[in-house]
Amino acid sequence: MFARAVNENETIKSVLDDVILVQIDCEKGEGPEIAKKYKVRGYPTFLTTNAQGEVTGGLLGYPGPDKWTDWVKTENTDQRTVAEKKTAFEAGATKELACSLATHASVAYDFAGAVKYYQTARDLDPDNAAQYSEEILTFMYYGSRGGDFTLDQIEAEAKVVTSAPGATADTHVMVTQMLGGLAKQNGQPERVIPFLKKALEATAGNEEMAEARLQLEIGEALLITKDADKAFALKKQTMDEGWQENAEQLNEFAWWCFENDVNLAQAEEMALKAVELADDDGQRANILDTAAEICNARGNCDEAIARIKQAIALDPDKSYFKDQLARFEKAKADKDS
Amino acid sequence: MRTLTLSRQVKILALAVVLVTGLAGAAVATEAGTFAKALAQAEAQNKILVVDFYTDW
Repeated sequence: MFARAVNENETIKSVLDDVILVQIDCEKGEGPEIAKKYKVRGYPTFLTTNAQGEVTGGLLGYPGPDKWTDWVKTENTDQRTVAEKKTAFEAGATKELACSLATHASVAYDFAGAVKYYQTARDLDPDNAAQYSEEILTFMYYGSRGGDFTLDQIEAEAKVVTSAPGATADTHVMVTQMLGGLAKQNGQPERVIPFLKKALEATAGNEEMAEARLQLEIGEALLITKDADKAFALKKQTMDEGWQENAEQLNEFAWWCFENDVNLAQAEEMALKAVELADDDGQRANILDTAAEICNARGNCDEAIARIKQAIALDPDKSYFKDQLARFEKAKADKDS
Repeated sequence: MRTLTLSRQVKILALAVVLVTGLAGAAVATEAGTFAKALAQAEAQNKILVVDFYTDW
């Protein structure tokens, strides 16, 4: 994305005369060594350095041409090292320092640090509060994977973001996707409902957002109207062409049905067809695990055990399958007793 | 078990943390010494260096 944009995008090109851009393939030549030296963790990562190679700023991910160019301009304006900026920030915080240190913190996956700096920026620059709130929410979401933030904290920030007067349809969709995933992981999927409703309202009739809209409607069918058949039909529309003859996609659909407890009979058929179409034993074993889960969910314990035993025979080194077998055998024992 | 290809996982993770970088003929440094040369250029032209760390998977 960035590699193409750098040659084609006029906004990006406009800033390239003022800096030296070097692109490092982190898997080739001297790339791995340099990436290690600079402790790069995610791709793409952008760093600014002075001529001595000391880091002056950082950015995780490519945020699109406008934000990327703004970031380069900001870092070009204040060329102090990150260490110097931190000292200056402690002595007297400014929104520019806070933003620079926030994006740099994200490079090291210090999302709690990034949130803290952006909160300071928001306090110092209340006119742009909505923009900082979106950054705060995004980094809270990233940080939630490492346990830095709880669902309560993220939900509270999501309310701030979605109740801002200028919140766009894109923002509502993004927040719903984040909260939807987190709420489900926390075993409380219904907590996304207020955000889902707002996103449905914000995207109504917007044909440019048809793809996102479809995902929202699936959520609506699963969580609000609780119409499993409709959810299934909508999910079908999201599948790529030829999915019915593709082992991986059949498996994905079957797994989705299992996770959402939708049309398990059809899901089992899809999984079994995927088993037949699988390219190799490893893939076949994984799909047999899907089939076993579905059988178990339908109360067919013997079949679940038979399927997972087939998976173990195909991929005997995978301990996960053995754990699954133990789980299904326990379910059978519980059911029989 | 969920078995997703990398491209689908990236779509799901989304939000730019791990984006696949397509290559379209941009000036790319893989030879030894390119980074050092870029630093020397920054010194000579009194400019900062912007380093793009990417992978093409």
